[in-house]
Amino acid sequence: MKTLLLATVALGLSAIAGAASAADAIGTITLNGHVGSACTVIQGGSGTTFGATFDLGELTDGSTGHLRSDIKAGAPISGLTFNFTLVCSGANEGVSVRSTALTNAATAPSGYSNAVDFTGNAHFLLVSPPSSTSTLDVANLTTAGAATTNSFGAANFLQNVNNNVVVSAYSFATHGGDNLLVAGAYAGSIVVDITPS
Amino acid sequence: MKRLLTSAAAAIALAAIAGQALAADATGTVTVNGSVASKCTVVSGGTVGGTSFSSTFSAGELADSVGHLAFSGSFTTVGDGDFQISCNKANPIITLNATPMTNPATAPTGYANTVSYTAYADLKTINGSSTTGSVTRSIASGTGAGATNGPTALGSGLYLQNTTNNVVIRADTFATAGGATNILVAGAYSGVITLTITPA
Repeated sequence: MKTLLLATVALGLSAIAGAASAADAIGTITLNGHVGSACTVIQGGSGTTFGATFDLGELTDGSTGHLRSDIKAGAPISGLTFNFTLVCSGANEGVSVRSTALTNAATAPSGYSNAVDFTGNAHFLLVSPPSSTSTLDVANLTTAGAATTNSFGAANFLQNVNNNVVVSAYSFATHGGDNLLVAGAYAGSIVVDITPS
Repeated sequence: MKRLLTSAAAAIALAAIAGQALAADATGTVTVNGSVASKCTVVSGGTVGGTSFSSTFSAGELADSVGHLAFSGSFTTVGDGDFQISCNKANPIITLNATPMTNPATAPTGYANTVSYTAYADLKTINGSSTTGSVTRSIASGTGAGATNGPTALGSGLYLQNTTNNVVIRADTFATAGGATNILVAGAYSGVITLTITPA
């Protein structure tokens, strides 16, 4: 009798082993993606480069040899405002503006000047969630000697509208005082750099 | 099965890294150009911003009691004209012309209707290193139709100094045509010194 009972125990062990081999196999696949924080140009350039060129023409008043007065104003004259449209996918992008004086290659003696300073400004249209708009102006004087830097601010994006970046130049002044400007061609620039956060 | 899952996860991770590499700066450059034409204009001694400057010198009575030239002085535009001319490019061209002082009356032998002199133009200069100097051009009027020095360049790299009286015209060495013993006929005498500064 004892021998039969032992046989029953053996069958029970065999049933337990059969239940373990019928478990589900569960695989988990995680799909990740990424949107790189990037700024690209929609209007006024291509890729990541935008720009424009403006010719002020004769810089002096045509008679005395001194800088003409209209461009000395603290607001840009007609044509010295440039509209660009950019897309930046991130908030709080960094901004750098560097203005370089208009200069002429000729050496200027005392009483003369071969450079014209000015202020370059970049104006940004911003929006923060859900739809709070604001603006940011980053101005740089050519006499500063270095770029002016700033950022859009936390949670501030570039507005997704046309002409969301406006660059202008104003407050032109003869470098070194109201000296005579030496004759020749002059060229300067404003470089606006937008760094994705 | 584990190997397959591992490969898929690695591929997605690489794609995400590639996306981050697109975060390039956007850079805008606005170029502003201008120019300044070469010109010479009047700062003082004429119409400001114009191109004409002038002065008149009156020597008064030229003759002494016996009719001979008595005037032995000189004149200068310093204090009488005070010319300041602005030229914004180096090496302008200088031309100096002088006509003698004459009277329209016909002068017989032993008389004269002409007084000659020597004219000068003193030009204050400065070079790119701000070294100052002066250039003088002169011409004897003679007793005929006049005489001219130039056109001759001021000098390579030389600007007019941006200062008062940077152009001075003067005259001296007045003399009676035909000799000092000639008698100057009565009447008004007039001569002209013309300085032309042409932008380079």
